[in-house]
Amino acid sequence: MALLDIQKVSMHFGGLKAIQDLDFTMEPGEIRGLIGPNGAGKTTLYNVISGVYIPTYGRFYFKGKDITKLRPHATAKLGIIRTFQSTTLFKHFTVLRNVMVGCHLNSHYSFFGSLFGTPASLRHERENEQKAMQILEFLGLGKLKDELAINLPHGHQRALGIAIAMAAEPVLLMLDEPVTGMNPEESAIMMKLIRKIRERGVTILLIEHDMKVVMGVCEKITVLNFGEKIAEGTPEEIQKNPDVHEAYLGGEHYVA
Amino acid sequence: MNDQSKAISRRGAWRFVLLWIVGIAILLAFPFIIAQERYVLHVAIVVFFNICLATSMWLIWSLGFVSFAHAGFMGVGAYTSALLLIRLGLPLWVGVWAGALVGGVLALVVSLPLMRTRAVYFFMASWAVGEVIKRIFAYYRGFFGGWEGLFKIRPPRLGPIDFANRTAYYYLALVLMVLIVLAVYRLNKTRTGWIFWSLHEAEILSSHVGIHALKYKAGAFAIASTMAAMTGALFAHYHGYINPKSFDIWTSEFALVHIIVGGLSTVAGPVLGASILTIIDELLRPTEFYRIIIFGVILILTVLFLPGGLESIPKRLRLRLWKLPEDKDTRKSIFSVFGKGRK
Amino acid sequence: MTVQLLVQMTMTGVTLGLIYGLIAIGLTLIFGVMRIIQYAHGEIYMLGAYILYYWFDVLKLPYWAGFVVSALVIFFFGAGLQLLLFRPLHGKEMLYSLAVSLALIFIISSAGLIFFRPVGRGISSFVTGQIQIAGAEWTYERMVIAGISLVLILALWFLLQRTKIGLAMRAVAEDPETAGLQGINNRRIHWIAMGLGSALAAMAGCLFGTLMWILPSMGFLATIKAFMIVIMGGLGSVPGALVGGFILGFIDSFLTTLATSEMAYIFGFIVIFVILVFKPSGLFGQEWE
Repeated sequence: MALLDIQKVSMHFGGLKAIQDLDFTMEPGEIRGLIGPNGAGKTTLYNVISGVYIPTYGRFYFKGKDITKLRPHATAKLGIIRTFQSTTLFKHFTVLRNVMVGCHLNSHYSFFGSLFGTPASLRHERENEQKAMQILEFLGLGKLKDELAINLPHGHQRALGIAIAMAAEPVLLMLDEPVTGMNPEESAIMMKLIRKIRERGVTILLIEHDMKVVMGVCEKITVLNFGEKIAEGTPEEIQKNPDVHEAYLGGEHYVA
Repeated sequence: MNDQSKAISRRGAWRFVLLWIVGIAILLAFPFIIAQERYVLHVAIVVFFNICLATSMWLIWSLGFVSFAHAGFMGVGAYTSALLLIRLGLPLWVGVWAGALVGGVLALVVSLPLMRTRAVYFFMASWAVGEVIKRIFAYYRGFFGGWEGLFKIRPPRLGPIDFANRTAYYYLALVLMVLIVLAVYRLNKTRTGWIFWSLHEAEILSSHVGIHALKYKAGAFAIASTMAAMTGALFAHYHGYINPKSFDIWTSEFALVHIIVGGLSTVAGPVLGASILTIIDELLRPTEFYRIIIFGVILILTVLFLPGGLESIPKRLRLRLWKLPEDKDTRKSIFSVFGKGRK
Repeated sequence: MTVQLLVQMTMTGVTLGLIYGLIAIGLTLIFGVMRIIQYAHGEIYMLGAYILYYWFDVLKLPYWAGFVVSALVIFFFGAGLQLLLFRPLHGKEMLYSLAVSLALIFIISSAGLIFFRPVGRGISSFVTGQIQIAGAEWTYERMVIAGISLVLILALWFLLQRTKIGLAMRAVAEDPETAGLQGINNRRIHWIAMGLGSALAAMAGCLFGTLMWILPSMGFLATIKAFMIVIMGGLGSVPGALVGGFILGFIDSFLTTLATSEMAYIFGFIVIFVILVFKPSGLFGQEWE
């Protein structure tokens, strides 16, 4: 059974057709690329999947369950976790605290327990902290745990965004331009990281403009333009596809 | 954690507890320190009420909202308790809990549509709620006493203690204040507090990691409004007389001023702000309208020159005088007894 | 209900609608360009009315000169407030601008009560006489006020749509960063917008004070109505402020005559609530966050 099954979904904002009649499926364990020119509808699709928007038409299913109308906290509970293009972080919290908030779903929390400071709740907080540290170490951010998120350099902020997403223990991880602003070494590290995350059993969807990364790490790629799917296939197939070339104005973005 | 830091945190923990104990001891002994001087006790009671209102309003602020309906809920508690006494002869002991219940339920009901509005609209919408509540009290003269209000709201007795005695009421108000400050402090310091602040910082991100924004916003709003209602009940039985004007937007606005001047980061803020400004207000009472002007000036000066509020003064002094490095996540100052600072 | 009454109420509704539109447009302009909550907008309106009162009724100087003087004085007052108080808060949380404008309310309304005394007054009519149309009495004064309001609103429309400054203001309102990159001096636009918005409030105050009455506490209700209208119409939308002004003007006119002012007040709330349920960003509003 497909992990994510999107059937004929359209997202209209008044007259603007951001997504038009999209069919899109993902199998468990794959690393899928989602590319297209700016404004093609990629981030809008994330917003529809995570539940920020409810699609104008169509339905979509996660593990067979209809999640069309679910809001972000509900889709997060099911394991659909995403990152954001702009630095969406808890800016005035420390790095460690950022990730600990991300752990919320998967740690025990009892309102009265925490209010009265029961031993159980204290234990849960310690476990939370340990989990968060593990994730920070995994991403190489361990030493920065007490820095305020707002003080981090851009690359580390990106990594923190991914750390928070990982803390929520995703089944489907949707990354939104994770390597923007990174140099080639950093991008290579990110590619390795993505593979490492997949090894943990996470299915990954990746929006990215850096074609080297997309072609290098994705097994299958879906191309959007003006809200519609114009191509889908392996990296080799996509590179040869004339429609895709046209969409990107002559294929300048490609690395052979 | 190595052994040295464990030792330090143990010492730190002792410092916390000691400070709280000393503080509470002073408050308990206070009436006798001032030889039960009636006027001073009155001011103290008003200070306690204002601390309750400011602290509960700060709870709502920790999620990023300013509720101008706050005074309205205070009124709900006041009128509920007053009416239970006047019409059914039930004392404050019943009234305060009834007021809490009515206030809490009403707040939950109101919060569902209210919390769907965004920041700018929220303050207007909450103002509208408060205004409607006040006008209902004013409109139904038969039931609520209209603009004239309700009289003869007598304080209760408990065994041999008659709470018409000001010293006795002082302790009653003290108990409520300590409970409210303690509750808000605990909520803020623990996981719940981090959830609130995460909604304040970045609601989108919080929802996407599974935090149900509406649930927490409604919950915090209901808890804070319940606290305001309980304060209202005690307010009613202390003054013996209430009218709709006591629960209008000015009261909410003054609570907001208390929080801003006191500081927005920790519970210390509303406590300090409410205490000091209430005392200043009392001292300036003879000057009538001029005192409101002075309040305005204090508020502007605070926002422009001391944005962290009064609670940030110790930190600033330490930075200036002793050039001590700033602790990033925690404000280690005397006010750290009130928990970690967030901004 | 007679035709006469209907015409009377409509006439009042239109006049009120135009005056409300003026003050609401001022507020929405301030919010749109600077994203600050000017809670003291009503107090500015009150000051404008009192300046005209002292010029015309006390000093016995010409009415329309006073109108212009009031607008100019308040323009610079508003600009000054922006430069001194609101500018340092630019970019910070909205709570701070709310706090500063709240402080301004405290200061201005209390100063008003001290200096002007809580005595109801009116700005005398600048022209007397009336004519009968459709059986209803139309005072010249009322017609001139309505006319002037309309002219002001049209002038403002012209300013925003056809002049460089207006274009600059709209640019800053829509996208401050890009506007800056295009060479627009954001700082200058901010104080101009604040001055302009305040001047509109002052003029509305003058007209209302002539039509009805003035009190130092008139600012409070004006602030409420202005915010109600702006939220109804959509924050930052000038057409929205005008339409909202008319809606509230008509509600006030009709319900105050047919029922009570309390009813008008409550009904206004109900209408806003209903509008927000169907259009959460207001009639003409957009998602701005």
